[in-house]
Amino acid sequence: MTVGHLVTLAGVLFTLGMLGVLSRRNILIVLLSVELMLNAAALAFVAFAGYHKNLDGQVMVFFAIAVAAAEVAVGLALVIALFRLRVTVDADQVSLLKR
Amino acid sequence: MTVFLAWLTLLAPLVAAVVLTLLPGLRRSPLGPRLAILSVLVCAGTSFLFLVSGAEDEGKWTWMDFATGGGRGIELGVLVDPLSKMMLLVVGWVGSAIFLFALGYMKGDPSIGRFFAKFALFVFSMLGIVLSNNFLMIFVFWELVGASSYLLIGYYTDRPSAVEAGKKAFLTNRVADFGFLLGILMIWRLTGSFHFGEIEAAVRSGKLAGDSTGTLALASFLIFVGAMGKSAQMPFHVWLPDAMEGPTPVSALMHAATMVAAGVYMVIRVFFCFEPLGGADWGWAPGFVAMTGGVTAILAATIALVQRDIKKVLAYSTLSQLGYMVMALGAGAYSIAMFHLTTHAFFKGLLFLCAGSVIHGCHHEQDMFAMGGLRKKMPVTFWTFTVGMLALTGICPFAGFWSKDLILDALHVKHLHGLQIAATLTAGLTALYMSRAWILTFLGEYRGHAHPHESPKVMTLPLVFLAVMSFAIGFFFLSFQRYLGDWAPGGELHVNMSIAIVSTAVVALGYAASWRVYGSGGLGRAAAMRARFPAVHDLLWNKYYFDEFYLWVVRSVQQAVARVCRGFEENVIVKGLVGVPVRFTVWVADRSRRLQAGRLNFYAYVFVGGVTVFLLFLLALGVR
Repeated sequence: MTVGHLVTLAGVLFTLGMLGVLSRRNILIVLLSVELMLNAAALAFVAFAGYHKNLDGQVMVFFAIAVAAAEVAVGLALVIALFRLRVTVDADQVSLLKR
Repeated sequence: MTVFLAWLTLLAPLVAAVVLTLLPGLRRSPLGPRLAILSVLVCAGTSFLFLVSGAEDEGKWTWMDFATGGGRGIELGVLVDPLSKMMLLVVGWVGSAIFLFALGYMKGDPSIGRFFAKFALFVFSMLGIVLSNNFLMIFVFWELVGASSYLLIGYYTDRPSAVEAGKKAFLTNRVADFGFLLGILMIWRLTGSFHFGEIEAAVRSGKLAGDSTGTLALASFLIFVGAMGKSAQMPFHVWLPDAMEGPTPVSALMHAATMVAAGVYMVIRVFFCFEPLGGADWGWAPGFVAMTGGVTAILAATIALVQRDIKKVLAYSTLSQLGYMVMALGAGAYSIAMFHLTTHAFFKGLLFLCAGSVIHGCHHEQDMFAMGGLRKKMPVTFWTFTVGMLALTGICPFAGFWSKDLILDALHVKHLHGLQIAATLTAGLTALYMSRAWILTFLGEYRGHAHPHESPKVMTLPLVFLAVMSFAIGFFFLSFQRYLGDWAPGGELHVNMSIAIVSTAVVALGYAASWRVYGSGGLGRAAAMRARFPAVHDLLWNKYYFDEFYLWVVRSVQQAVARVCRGFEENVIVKGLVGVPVRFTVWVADRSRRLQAGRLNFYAYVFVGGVTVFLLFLLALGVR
């Protein structure tokens, strides 16, 4: 397993996450996709750490996971607040702007 | 000294007008009108002085200086020469008489001060025309006279017909003045100057720019167009009968004696432009002038035959006599035209004042069919009117005889026999309509409802004065000819005996015909005549349908042009010039609105797109 494989996997995961963010209507699934993107970035870090035989990359993963956790907390809180207001989690339904 | 007096004469009425306008206290006091009268008497005095002293001079004053770069400034000037001295006499003496008369006629009018202010303004403008020494100045005062005319015709502001008449006068004049201005500019182009003396020198020496003969003829024709407007020649005559809406002193001074004569005066001023160049016997410009005069003279005389309003009869008579003057101009007899102008001013002014006296005496009745028998009730008016009538119809030895017959002789000498016959016929018609008016007004029995009485002395004295002048001025014609004859052509003519006899016979026929129809004051035959020739009567009553024709032309042309303009405005400007940016802005706005769709996906998409572009940009930069 070379670093190339790992980075490619990270890239694929990232792309999948991005596509999810762009195309999904359910806000929860969007948040999930964002998580996927974050984890893909973390995987890339690990891959390079192993390649350069440098532990700095592994440490970055810790940061990434912490940030992801915080972000999810805030995001879900927002979703709940939104749901309380609009009784929906459909991204298309929450726009107050006129068509 | 002469120049000073000339400026004083010109400015005195202006001062009177300004003072009367700005000081309402003076205006309302009895002093106001008398101040205006005084300012006109100044003109009478100086004109007399100039005549007896034989003074001649010219004074210039630069108004705007464009002298740098070889240009000329705009200058005003006063010119005292035989022609202007004669005209000053007319304006001053006839004007003073009329002003004095107006003091009595307008008595009791609440705005009498305003009237005299405007009247004085008119005198100032008229004197400006008389004394001017260059075309620009005369044009300025030409328009000023038109403005005064508008103000005075529409003096009775509560009468819509008067207001309309004022507008009509001004607009008709304006149309003619367009031609006038073109003529002035052409002359300037040919001779390089606006000044009369310089233009005369240039024309006489033959040094003109461009194709001289043809262009000068065209320029003089255009200048005559301006005279046509002011002197109410056909087809620009339509404003003069309507101008009778103004107070009678206005009709007397402006639309009989002076303002309408300004056109004739102006042409005499620049007579050298009209002389056919190259020694030809006849140019087309003077020919056109003569024809216009002839047509106006005879047609106006025919219309006068059916008028019921005494002022309208005199108005058409003025038109006809102006036609005579213009015919003289066309025949190259400029000094004769001036002579007729002078005599006409006196007796027509007199006749109008008599009409005013009659109207005043009959409590503002103007319809002759409601008059009659005034001979006994208003004797002074009757006798002075008779003198005026005899002078106008040209009974020897009254003034009109000499001037009329000299004009006939001038036409004869130039072999304009058609016009000569027309002029002779017009003389007969003149006798006809004047004696008709005389009989209807003064003879027979009174047919009206008022209690006519003679007018007060302030009104009858001017009548007597003008009557004496009308009688006497004829005798001065010999000296007149010598006086003016040196200055302009026409002085060499004498009264031709055979022509005089023929014209007198025609005039006598006119009197006789009128006597036959109206007898000593009967209306009966008149109605019968009307019944016998209904078509002719209608044609004359409707003034040859000129007004209807003009209205139709204005309507069709104006409406058509208005429609084109409207189409242009709606389609090109509103839809195009303004519409396109509007629609473009709306389209951009509509498109831009979609950026704010409110959909999360879309925002994220744009965000990702932006990041990608940024990264590519960095990548490109990185590759050096």
